[in-house]
Amino acid sequence: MPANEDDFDYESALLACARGEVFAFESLYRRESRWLGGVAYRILRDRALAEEALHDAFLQIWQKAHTFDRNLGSARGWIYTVVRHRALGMARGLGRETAAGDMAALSDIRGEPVQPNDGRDDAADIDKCLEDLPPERRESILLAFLDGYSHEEIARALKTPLGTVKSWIRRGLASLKECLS
Amino acid sequence: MSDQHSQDSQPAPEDLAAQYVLGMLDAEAQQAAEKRVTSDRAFAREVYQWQDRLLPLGRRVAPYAVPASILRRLLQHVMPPARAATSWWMRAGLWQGVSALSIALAVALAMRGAHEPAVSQVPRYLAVLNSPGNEVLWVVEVATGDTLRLKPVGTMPVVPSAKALQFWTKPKGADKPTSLGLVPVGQALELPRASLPAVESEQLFEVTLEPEYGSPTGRPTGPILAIGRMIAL
Repeated sequence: MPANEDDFDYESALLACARGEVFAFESLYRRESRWLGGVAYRILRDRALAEEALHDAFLQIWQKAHTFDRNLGSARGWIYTVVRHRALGMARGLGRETAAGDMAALSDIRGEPVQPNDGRDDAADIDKCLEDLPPERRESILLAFLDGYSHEEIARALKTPLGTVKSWIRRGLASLKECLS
Repeated sequence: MSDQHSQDSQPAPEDLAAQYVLGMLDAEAQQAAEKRVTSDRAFAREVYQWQDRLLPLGRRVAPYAVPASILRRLLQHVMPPARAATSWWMRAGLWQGVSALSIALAVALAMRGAHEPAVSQVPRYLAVLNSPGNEVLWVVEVATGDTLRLKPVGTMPVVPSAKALQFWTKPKGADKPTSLGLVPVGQALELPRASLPAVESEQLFEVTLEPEYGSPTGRPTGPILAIGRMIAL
């Protein structure tokens, strides 16, 4: 990572994209593509699909940049959402079979050390808040966020009724919100 | 669970933003929520807050080695159509990735230039200014008419508000760059050769991002947007 990454102004770059400034778009891509590619790949688990998702999402970022409102939140959060949603849209469309990967995915999460951050994120806070959650709620949220599992896929993976999974996620999110506030 | 009665209905409004960001809604509800973000500010605020709450989790994912072809495809989509202009200078934009020091490029450009009717416009010196991403952004030409021209050939960089592009040169052996003034975005800049400290091979030219009225120190203070060295033809 470039040492000066802290200085990169994601909000200004996204607003410049909205004005049609290609250089800003390229900068943004060069900053974030490997991370966002990782996000898409984790969800889709296929290189070609992940790359297509990344490409399509960045086109959306370019086209939708004018809808970003810097008064409401960060540009990075906005960008991650565009990429995650694009990858999720593709994953849902695939009607993929998750059963085979379930145990692997779960062990990934259980044993997953928190990756070192670059000092910019409030990762420590969210990690602590996740740790405070009952394990099944934590796992459900991580399966949803990181692996892009639907409620149904999580229910299958955790061999738990759908309604229970929905409740875990809803309550888990509510606890996270409270913990992070 | 006491609240399982809601399991098959849509989430309560206060949950909706979180469920939307997480991507848990069915396709139709997901699309409806996406639309609502643009029209319902209170809902949008909730959505942005959830985006930022969950953002650090994205860093748990290992980075991915993204092939360069994706950026190339993206840039083809987002480039403005101006690149199709017929000026021979614009052809320099096709030489993406070619080093500014490439003699082959300079010769190719010079030969195209030689087809221009006015012999006096044939460049005698040429520098191709590349972005850090190796995109050709400007060409510097010193023609026999004793005029230096800085011509935009690529997609112009971002100039945030209260910032400006500044043009610099540094002859071989000089201890610091000399400012050649501010650059109007997307327009050619012409300077009398006499305003240059020198005109010679290997002379460095660069464009940096500076405060609105130029560098306050007389030296480049901002990031280099494009840089290249002069070649004698």
